[in-house]
Amino acid sequence: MGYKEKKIIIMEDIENDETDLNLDDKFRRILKRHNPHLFITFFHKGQRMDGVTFELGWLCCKYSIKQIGHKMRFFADANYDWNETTSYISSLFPYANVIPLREYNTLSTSKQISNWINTIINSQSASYRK
Amino acid sequence: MYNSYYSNKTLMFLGKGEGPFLELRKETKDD
Repeated sequence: MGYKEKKIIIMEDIENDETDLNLDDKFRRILKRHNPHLFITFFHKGQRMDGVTFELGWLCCKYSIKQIGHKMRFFADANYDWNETTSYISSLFPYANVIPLREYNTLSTSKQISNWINTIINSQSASYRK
Repeated sequence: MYNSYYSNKTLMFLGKGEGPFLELRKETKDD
C-alpha cells in the first residue's frame, strides 16, 4: 500500500497513558507528540460519527479552520448527509478536499481509500516540489 | 518507493473504529 515509508497514527491503536485522565488528554498528547502533517478522516452513513466530529471541532478551536483545513482530507460515503454533523465540518470544506466513497462495502472501500491516499500523497508531493 | 513530501511525516487517521476504517487499520499494521 506504500504506507511503509510513512508514520500512520490511529488513536485507537495508541495505548492510554497514566496522564490521560480523559479522552481529550489522550488526543492532546498524541497531537503534541506526533504533530501530524495530514489528517485523513472517514465519515460513514448510518453510524454515529460524533467522536470524529468532536475531534475535528476540537482541532478547529485549537488552531483555526483556515490553518487546519488545508491539512484535512475527508472520505465520506456517497450522499453523506453533512447536516448530521456540525457546521464546524462544513466550514472546513473550502480548504479541505472531500472524496466521495462508493457504497458501503468494507473490503472494496478500504482498497479505494488506500488508492486515494496514495494519490493524495503523490499529488501533494508534486505540488510541493514546485 | 516514491519520494513524497509526506515520506517522513506523520499522517493521522480519524474515524470510527469499525467497517472500512477497521480494515484500513489492519493494512497499516501489516504494511
